[in-house]
Amino acid sequence: MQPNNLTALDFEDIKSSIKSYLRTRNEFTDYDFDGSSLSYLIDILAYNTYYTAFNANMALNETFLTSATVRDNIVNIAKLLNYVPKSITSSKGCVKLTLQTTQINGEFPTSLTLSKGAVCTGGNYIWNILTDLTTSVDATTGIAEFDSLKIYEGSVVKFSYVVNTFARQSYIIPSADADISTLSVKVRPNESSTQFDIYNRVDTVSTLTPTSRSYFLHEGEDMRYEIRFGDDSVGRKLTDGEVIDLEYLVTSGPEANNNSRFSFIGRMTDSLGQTYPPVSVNLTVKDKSQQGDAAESIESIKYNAPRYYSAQYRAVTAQDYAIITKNIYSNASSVVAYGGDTLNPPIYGKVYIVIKTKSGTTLNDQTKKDVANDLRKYAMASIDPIIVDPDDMYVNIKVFALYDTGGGSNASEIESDINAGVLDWGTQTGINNFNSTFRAQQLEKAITLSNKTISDVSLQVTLLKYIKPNTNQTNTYCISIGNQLYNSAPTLDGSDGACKKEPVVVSGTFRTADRPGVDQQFEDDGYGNLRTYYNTGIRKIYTNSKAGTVNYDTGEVCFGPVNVIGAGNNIAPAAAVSISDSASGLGSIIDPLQLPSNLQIPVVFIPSNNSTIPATTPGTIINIVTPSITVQPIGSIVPPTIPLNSLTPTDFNQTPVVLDIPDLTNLGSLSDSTCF
Amino acid sequence: MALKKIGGKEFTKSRSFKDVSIGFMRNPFTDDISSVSNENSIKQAVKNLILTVPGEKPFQPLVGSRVTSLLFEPLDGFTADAIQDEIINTINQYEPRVKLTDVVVTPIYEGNKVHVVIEYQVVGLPIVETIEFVLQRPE
Repeated sequence: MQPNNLTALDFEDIKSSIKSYLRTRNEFTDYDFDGSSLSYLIDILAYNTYYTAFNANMALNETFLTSATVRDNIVNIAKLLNYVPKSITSSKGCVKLTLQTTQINGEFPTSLTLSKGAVCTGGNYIWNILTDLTTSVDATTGIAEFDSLKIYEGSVVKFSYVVNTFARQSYIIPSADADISTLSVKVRPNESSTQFDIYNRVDTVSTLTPTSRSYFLHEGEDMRYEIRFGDDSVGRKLTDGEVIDLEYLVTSGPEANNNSRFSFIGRMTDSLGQTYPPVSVNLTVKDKSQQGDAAESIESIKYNAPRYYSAQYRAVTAQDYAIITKNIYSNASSVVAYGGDTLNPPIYGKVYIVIKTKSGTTLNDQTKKDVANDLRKYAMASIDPIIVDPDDMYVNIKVFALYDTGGGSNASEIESDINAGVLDWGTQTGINNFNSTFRAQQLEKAITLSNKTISDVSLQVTLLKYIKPNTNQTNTYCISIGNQLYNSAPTLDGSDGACKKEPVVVSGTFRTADRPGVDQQFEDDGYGNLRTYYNTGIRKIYTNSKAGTVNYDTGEVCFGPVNVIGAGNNIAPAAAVSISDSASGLGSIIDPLQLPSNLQIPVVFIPSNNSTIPATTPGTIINIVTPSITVQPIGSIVPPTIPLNSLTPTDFNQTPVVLDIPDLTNLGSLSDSTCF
Repeated sequence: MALKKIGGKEFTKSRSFKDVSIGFMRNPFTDDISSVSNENSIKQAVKNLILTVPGEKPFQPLVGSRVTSLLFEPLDGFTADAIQDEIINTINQYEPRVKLTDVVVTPIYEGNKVHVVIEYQVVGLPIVETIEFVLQRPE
């Protein structure tokens, strides 16, 4: 008889297969009775087969990246693809330290050094710096300052190996919680020597010479990373008796995030040899701790390893840039990249990489340069990677819901249900990210479903973008919503412009260099021009009827040339300007240094189509401003869907709170005042 | 498969039973493994079942009887009763070829043993079989 079921993996299936074979023979008959000796024999045979089948199945599954389940096996396969999984990452805080140094013989020290190692405590964790830091001391005041000091959570661990080439030595970092981005590898010629060579981590052999001081890193068993040195062909080989000193942080990873209280415990020594007790140091927290992350999960390794391999350490397509950026900058939550040739007008030879950070803030200039420099190593010659901020477009929604009063819910219950429904909608549609599209119909449906008593939903949708002017510079600033603007009176288009139209673009308040004493705004005239005005309280006074242009088809607004010196509440102090006429605000600038920076002028648009608003460029993020909700009984009259004449751009002088991401205080500012 | 249905008053012999001998001995005449058949095979199966500890058979954690662990209980009338119940349950549940007529469990206090007599009728055969053995803790 032929075996009928060779793929059976189940014990019972295998057993019944053996029994059905015995059924065809007449030697023995008792296989069906649990007590028979034959039944015991069949059990053993089936168990053995089951065991072998399971082993074979497991072994084959674990051989392939897609089906493997044991971390060590996945890591081993990823190793073949030269992929090093990300280790646990320490949380980082940002502080500012100031110290009043003391004089010796009437002289302040010239410099102050902060020793490496533990510098702060906070939230039951120890925070370190990884190298000695030195700063200069102000010669007149004697104050020394470490600004934007990045501190790392964890404990610094040192571990040494003595090289013995007779034994098959493997150099393993003996902790699974080591942050390998903080790993430093030094090699001394012998145990008594104090001189050392620093070895650098490399990923590929392409740049190595026989004398390169470099090491390869890969994850070994039980998430412990292993270091491999060269062989005198690619990279220098270590010789007997040399000592490898490893130094790294053992960290708690994400548990230490969001700590905003630090107290200083470090040691400071000045150039005159004086040390200062920790209490004399004044510590200011600049940023709460962030960016701590767990080791890369097996799902992530499975996803990233083949993709990283397919990029071959070369950034060729735009996607390569996005993948490599995610790999080299761990704070990136999502990344898109696109060639400059897709822009209008095209910019050849550049690749634009847009990074949305996990922390929600935008990158400072230094980090952008660092990431771009890291990317340049992968880029093809003549291609210049440029990191840009996401283009934030805000969708401001007013929700008007009518409800059935007999349904058993009151207005405040319905409002909180709507809020929850909107949040669910935001989460499910993945809005507030790249490549998303706002669809009013989906939102209306989500609101209708959030409470059974809601009978009608109506939305007022306006768009908000910010102009970010440079203080005291005459420039033209263009922003675009990428969609058609609403035409408030199409029948007047053919006329000479003498007829009035309602504005569909209105800005928040700003101050210009020629009129520093009065808050101005701009609006469109309906015929392609921006005009600026100020409000005396009883009427609008137009100050410039050609302050910029509006393209109603593309949604592009160009404001300028204009010299902006203040916006919203961020205006120049009285001492910085002189005002000759307080009514019209005319005047001039006295002290440009006192003018505020980080200006942003909100501009509100009424789009022509308010039911579908797509992200217009690859780098656009559509942010949904937390909607204002009005709940009224059924039969009430809802306001028009086009909010003509009721635009309130000054509400957005501060960046509005958006759905899901409540903390966006530093949006868009090009500051170097923080660490991240 | 197993048994042909026996109904009413007709007593016809069911098909024969044939099993491997549990001792795996060599049959001196055929040089093959020795086998047991019919009532002997049933007797062997009954004994096997009682001496099997639950969990011993892979993936069948309920097959067997707990008499082995009961032998470690204090030897008295209650334990003897428990052993008797266990034997009755096990055979009724897992050996459909027999119909129990009597199970007698007698404690032998000297040496902490139990004497077991199982009397049963083979289903389909008009004969009554008796198995008699002594249960003792493994030394």
